[in-house]
Amino acid sequence: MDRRRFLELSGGALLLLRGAGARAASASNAGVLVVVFQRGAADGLHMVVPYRDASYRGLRGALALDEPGKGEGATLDLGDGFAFHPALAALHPLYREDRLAAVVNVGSPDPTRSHFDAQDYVESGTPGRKSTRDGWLGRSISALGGDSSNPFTAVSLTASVPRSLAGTRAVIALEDFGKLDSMSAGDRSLAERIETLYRQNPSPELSRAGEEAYRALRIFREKDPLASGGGPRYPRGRLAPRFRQLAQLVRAALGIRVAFVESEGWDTHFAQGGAEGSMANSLRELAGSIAAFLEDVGSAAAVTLLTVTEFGRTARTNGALGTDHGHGSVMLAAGAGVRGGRVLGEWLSLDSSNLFEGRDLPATTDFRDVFQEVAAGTLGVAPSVELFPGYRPSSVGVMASRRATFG
Amino acid sequence: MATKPESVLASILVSRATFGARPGDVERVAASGVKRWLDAQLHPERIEDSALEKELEVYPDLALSTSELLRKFPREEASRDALRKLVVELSHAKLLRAVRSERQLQETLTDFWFNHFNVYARKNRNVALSLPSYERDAIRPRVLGKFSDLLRATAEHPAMLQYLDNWINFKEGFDPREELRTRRRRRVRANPEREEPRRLGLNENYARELLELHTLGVDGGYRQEDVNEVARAFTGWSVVRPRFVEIAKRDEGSFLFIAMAHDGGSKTVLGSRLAGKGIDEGLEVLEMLARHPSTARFLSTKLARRFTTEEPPRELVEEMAETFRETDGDLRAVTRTMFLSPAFVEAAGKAEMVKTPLELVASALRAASPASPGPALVRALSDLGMPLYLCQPPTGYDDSATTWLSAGGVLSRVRFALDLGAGRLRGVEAVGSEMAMTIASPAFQRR
Repeated sequence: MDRRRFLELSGGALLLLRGAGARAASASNAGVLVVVFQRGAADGLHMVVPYRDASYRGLRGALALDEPGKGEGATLDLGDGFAFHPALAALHPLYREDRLAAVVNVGSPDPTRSHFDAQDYVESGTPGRKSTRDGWLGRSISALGGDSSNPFTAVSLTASVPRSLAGTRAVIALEDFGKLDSMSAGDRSLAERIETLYRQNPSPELSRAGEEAYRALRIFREKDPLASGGGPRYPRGRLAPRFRQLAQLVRAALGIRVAFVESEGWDTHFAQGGAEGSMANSLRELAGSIAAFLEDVGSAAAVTLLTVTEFGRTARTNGALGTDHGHGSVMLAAGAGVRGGRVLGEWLSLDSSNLFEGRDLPATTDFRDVFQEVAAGTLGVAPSVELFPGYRPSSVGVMASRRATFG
Repeated sequence: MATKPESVLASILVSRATFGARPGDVERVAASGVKRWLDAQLHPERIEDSALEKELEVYPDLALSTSELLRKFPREEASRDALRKLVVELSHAKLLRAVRSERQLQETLTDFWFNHFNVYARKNRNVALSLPSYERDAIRPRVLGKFSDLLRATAEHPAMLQYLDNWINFKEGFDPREELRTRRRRRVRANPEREEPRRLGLNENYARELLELHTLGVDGGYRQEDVNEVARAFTGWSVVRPRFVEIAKRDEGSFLFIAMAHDGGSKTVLGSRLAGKGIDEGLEVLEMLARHPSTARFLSTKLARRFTTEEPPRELVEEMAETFRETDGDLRAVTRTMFLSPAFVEAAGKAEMVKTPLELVASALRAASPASPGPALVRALSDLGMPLYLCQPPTGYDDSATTWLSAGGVLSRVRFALDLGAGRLRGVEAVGSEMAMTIASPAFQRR
């Protein structure tokens, strides 16, 4: 009898068991969740292409991509009439090995086409509500319990703590962790004297911040994560070094459970390009970085990676060979626990009657469904934990995890 | 303020009303008398500041009008790098003002009010190019004036109109081509403009933030219907796009009320029916909001928070809100009430607030006074998590200790101090290791 079936049968004991299951899960599961935020609203239709769709060519015009097998610049088959943009070639082997899944038509129930509102809603996990103070990953970390004093429980390769991670202190955000590493002997002795000042400061707030900072610094020096060399080749550009650094951090067994990486440049209103061009370049760097990162981490940790963006773009090409702000987009999930090799989510044809407000890909899957499932599958956050206040997520089938949803 | 010695009062006041004490500042303020110093600061136009103005002449673009900037950086040539350079110049100028200006109170208030009416430089090219004017023409001259003037100046400014999308807030179903054709104007070409939806209609982005962030506050007593009605009142508040220059007979990028895009139906905001027509409806809404008691309370709380503690004492907020109501939103009077209140001295004396990265960098430079605070410091600000003019959400940068005092935050601050001490920031000479210690110390992180 499998676990789910058992729980269904046990009826009245369900609530009790949920609690027990949650504790067991958080103790046994040491997965690492990496969230890659594509800031600027990535064009999902240019990532996962419904090449057989009758309306595709008409809508896309000059941006339309060739169907698989049509030579150079053709898309890469995913089955069921879907194909990757050719610049995602580095991810295609992962898909074929069932280690990567795509979710199409995923998005927010809130119709905003404002970047900042939509990012805010995705990161807080509360679409339509701006007063939420913490982020969905911050809440996930809190739900983990355990050692909240490890500043490396969550890492963010950004200059400040991202909205997604607001609400937890067990996080360290730095655009470049290399800066921690590069202290001269003189700097180190000064830094030690500064530490003493923090320790002696009467304010609990300041002394705690100092304590956390210096604990991080000490862990960092002891494990010296950035010293490890070798590893696969990463693409060039601004994104790849963040992934390379993250792989080094993960391999160093710092106790990382959640990592956050930002990828910019997805707001393609102008000259988005087809098989080549500006978006193709961004996709190539993204795909190459992710593939290299997963290879780099190897078996050092059970890493699951999820790409997220605030909304998709218009189905139709605009007058500037780009696309404007839209609605539904695509998420990619890869790595440990992912039931890959599948295009998930409810696809609707590009017929104008299916388009959101007559122009955009619809959002048939709520982004919170994917978030909840991935958080459960990687971090062991129990379905009973209310990560998304006022919302009951349902299963998308991204994760192979037994404890997917039974809510 | 009479219960404490002048030197203590001076120290508290200087820690709040300036970007940090330079050597000797506290003694000078105490000697001249805190009240006299404050009253001088409340009239920045009377304070000589020509040395700074001369220093800022290295950035001639920052003195240009928005239309001049739009001409100088035409769409085809406005590369990302050119716009980035402009924002770096503007950021460096802001830092230079924070460090060098004698009008310190005006600069701290400009920082506060810009953040209150935040706009984001990378929204698009037009926002970036209207930023210099936004801060220089709309905000800085009004931070000690009437709140209603400040509010109107931001409402009409192209930076805000574009940042919060009001420039594309039109009556439902508005079709400019159709309207123009029926008016026998020349046909308008198909439009390649950014972010312009093909089906035009209401955009409530500005209306919502106006109520929630600029005036009443999220609990200020408005409802979704009010957001909708306010959005309708502001339909047609737009900016001159290139193709309208000829028709509007105005410079590209300036404020334009498009009467034919305005929703002519009647509107009820916060229970009262708007009396005016056309553009007057928006102005009426701004007046109504500026005078609303929720606004007085919301702004007083936020100001008091910035200048005292995270939870400002209620009597201080009450005192300020009362001044606000009695003076019809005179920000000079409200600011003066705050700084002269005994409750201010009590609360600010606890020194609980953590400096933002801008305050940290500016106060470090004021304390250490290196000869050349070079543009490398702009980069330092973004490493510290506060790239200027690049806060994307309309809420502006948060002011709470938890935001700035994460483990990474402390390490970045220590790093900054060490770099400054050792002269590793390009164009800024070393300030020495003892000064680095001071700047990195926990005490220095407090306002």
